[in-house]
Amino acid sequence: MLCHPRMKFKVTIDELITDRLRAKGVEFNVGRVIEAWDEEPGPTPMPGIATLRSWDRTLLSKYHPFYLPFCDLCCLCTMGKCDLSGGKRGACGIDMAAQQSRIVLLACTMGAATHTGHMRHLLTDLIGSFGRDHPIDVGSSVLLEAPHARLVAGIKPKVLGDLEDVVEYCEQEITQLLSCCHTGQEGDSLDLESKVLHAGMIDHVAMESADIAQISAYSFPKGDPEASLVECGPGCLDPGKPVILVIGHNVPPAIAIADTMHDMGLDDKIEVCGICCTALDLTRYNARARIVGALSQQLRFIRSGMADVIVVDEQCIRADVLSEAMKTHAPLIVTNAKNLQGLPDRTGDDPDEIVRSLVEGREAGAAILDPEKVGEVAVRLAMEISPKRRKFRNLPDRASIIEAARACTGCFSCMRACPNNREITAAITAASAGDLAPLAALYDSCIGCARCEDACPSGLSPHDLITGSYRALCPPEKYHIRAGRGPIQDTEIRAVGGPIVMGEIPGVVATVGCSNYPGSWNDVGSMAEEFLKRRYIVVTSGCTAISIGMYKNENGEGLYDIYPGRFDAGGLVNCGSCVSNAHISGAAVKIASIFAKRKLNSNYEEIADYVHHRVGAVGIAWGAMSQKAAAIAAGFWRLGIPVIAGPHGAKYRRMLLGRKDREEDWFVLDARTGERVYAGPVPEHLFTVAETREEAMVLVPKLCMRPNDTARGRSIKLNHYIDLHRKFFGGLPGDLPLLVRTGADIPITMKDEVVRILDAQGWKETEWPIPDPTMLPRLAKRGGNPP
Amino acid sequence: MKGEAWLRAETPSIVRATLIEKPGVAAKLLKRAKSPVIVVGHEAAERGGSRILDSVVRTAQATGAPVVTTGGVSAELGKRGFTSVLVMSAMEAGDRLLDPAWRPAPDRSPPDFAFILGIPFAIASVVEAGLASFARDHLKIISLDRLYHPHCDLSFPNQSREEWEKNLEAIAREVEKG
Repeated sequence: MLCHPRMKFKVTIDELITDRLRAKGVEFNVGRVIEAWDEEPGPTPMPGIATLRSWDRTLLSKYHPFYLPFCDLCCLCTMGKCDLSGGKRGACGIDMAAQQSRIVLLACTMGAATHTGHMRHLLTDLIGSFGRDHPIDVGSSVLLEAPHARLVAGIKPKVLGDLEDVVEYCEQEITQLLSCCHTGQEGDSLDLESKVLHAGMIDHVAMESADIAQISAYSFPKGDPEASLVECGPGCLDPGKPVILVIGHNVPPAIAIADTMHDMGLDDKIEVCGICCTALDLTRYNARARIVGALSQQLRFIRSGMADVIVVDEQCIRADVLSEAMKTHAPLIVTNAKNLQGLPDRTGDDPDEIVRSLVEGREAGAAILDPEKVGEVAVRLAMEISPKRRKFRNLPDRASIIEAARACTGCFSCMRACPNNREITAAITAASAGDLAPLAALYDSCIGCARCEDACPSGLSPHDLITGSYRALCPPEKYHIRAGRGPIQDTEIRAVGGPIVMGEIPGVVATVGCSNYPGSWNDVGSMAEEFLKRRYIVVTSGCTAISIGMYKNENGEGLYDIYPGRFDAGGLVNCGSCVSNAHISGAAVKIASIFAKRKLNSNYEEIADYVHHRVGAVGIAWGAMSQKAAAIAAGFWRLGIPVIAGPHGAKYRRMLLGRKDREEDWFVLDARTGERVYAGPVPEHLFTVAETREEAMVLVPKLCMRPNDTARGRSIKLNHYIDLHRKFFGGLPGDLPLLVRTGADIPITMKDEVVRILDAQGWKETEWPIPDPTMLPRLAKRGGNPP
Repeated sequence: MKGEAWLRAETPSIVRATLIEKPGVAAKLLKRAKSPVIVVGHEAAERGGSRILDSVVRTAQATGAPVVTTGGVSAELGKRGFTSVLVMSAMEAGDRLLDPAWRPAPDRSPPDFAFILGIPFAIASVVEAGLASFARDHLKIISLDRLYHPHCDLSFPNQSREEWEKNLEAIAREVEKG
């Protein structure tokens, strides 16, 4: 029978007679026909919340949770509050370990739900505009278009409509996961951790589907290493033009704005700019759009009054965006039912009337849930209101900063409210004497939260004084960023798969996440530069991709200007927005599938086992802030890819740490023989936090080591590890005897000093230098017991 | 303010750390401990941290306490010729301290007292909360940081950098007396 894959149908047979059966009124209901692809399904199609428990338990036996309780109490049900300190249990019986895992699960489920909700919304809009049969096309060099959907859900999507099956699966799993957080459900901390990993895996499926849908529909760059360089920073805006600011993650309304501008011949007459991922995605569509900056720029840019119209969609939008917009008389348009800000729904109203009411200031904003109408209203509104708003484009000037600073009583309340404990009080004291430089110097490390001003008993806004001082003393901010390229090409994977797996490309470093940095945003740029110079592949996305663009090296050059965008040694690869993170993990999956020819279809454990033991990749989420970031990290963990977070990442409440001093934790099976062999403590951790940028940089080469490294590959990785350790920690690492397997692993230029250390510690060559490592007994020849 | 968490939004634990009002109290604990360990982070080396680190070295040498360094502060100690340190991240240090069988060196007993300083508050406070929840039966946690740390057993109060330097020097002097 030929039918549309999404067609639901019923077959009724009045009377059925066979040689063994006679039946009347037989009825078959067929919910959906999913077209099979040429690869046989593996063992775990559309895994449920416990299907991959065994794999998770295997990982968690090596990387155990180290809990960091943010609070001694559980406040989730009315039997509480319950004190869980000192080994006590709550009224429901839960203990501190399970409670911490439950909170991590809650965070990761929120993150996965947010990406899935976004995907559902986006897909509905795209199917509405382009049709269910619009083809999935992410580039002629990207035949493996959806590694996560194929791996997890067993679906090879050909058209947008196929992604509805994927999103339904994700929604079902998220519902199950959230239910596990309820009182009286899961009580075992490791089973909760297994569910955390499940949430992460689902998150990557959802992100991937969202991005390939928008790439296909909007013709974003399709794995193009030479995607356009676009302008970034508030200084690239022409203050003489009307400015439309878009904030969030769901790009259709912003694209409608760009299309309307084009249709009305206003491309050169209006500046459309953005913050966060909507900005990143808009520049994938229209390279003339500007990126103002990362999330930390949100409040300061709104307060600058530059934006004549503010359009928000979903995620990472300040909850006080309406009141802040009202301070500068900028109308706010909300475009998404998830974030309505109390504004009246004007979706069905005449655009003329909406524009008139906003220009006249009768309403502070409007909810318009139709992207096309948002485009028309925002553009017309910007043209009409801009001339009336010029007087609201301001920040405190030098004289008013000095005057305000004199009201400071030096009580330190601002510092005690600052998440990074910046030296705000001393800087304001200096400003009161006419020196604005210390305040301006805080600009790079201010995350723009403005907790300082709520804390100030004198009613000052240190946040605005910092921004104003920076603007008074420093040149306008202008940078370049390469537009998000989307997926990694299959051809690139073929070219670098071998060198990565053998260890000859020392690693793939994914610098991703939000902008909740512990210090200057320049730290992520300098980290990226260090590894680019060392010929790692540096991939990035989201706010971190923007921050990297805002960094200039010692020659004043931007990294996107000087490093190529290809997925190769020394390449700086911006995949795109948050949802593009799936292409980073997807590249690891592709190495297993394309390079190593492992079966992909519904074969999660085997692929994760391959990635964990062979693909030297590590994530750095230096400014991770959100629950989405937690879910993204969890998706990497389930594939066995380590993640390093910045200091604030400790507030995610638990790490996944290895114990290199416990030899028994580091055995694998040699797939060639089935023997249980010692493979060394690599990678040492699955999730950890670094205290400083330097500590993170020393961790990276170590966490890129894998049991499968060739001697040459391990030697290269050790070279970087030793070099960075010597540079930042002083001296050689003490754990070299655990990482050097044979003499051939020792970097030739460091041989004498390394051998001296090894000899002093009684090091001996290992019996099994390079196994064919696996933790899955079924993959080992002649069977084998679990490692 | 002395005995409040410096970060105002930090929720204190059910049991809050007792204030160390005089450095002599910390010195006595260092002397009384059977197997103390000092965990020092990179903030001890910030903004002319030489006096802080000098005091850490003197205290370690006088008590024989192993020193765990985090955040790259080992480089600064190395410049002082003090190289017999364990290099770890704060997370690894916390994880090891959680293990009642962990020995900082083969010839050392598992620690019964951990003296912690110089680790950023965002990290140290949650590591200490973890130790308070899971290691209280074998470990006392003492903060010698510049800021008050509520999850410890005992903690210095919030203090200026100058006061911190003086207090750590006083501890070093006291333990050097034997």
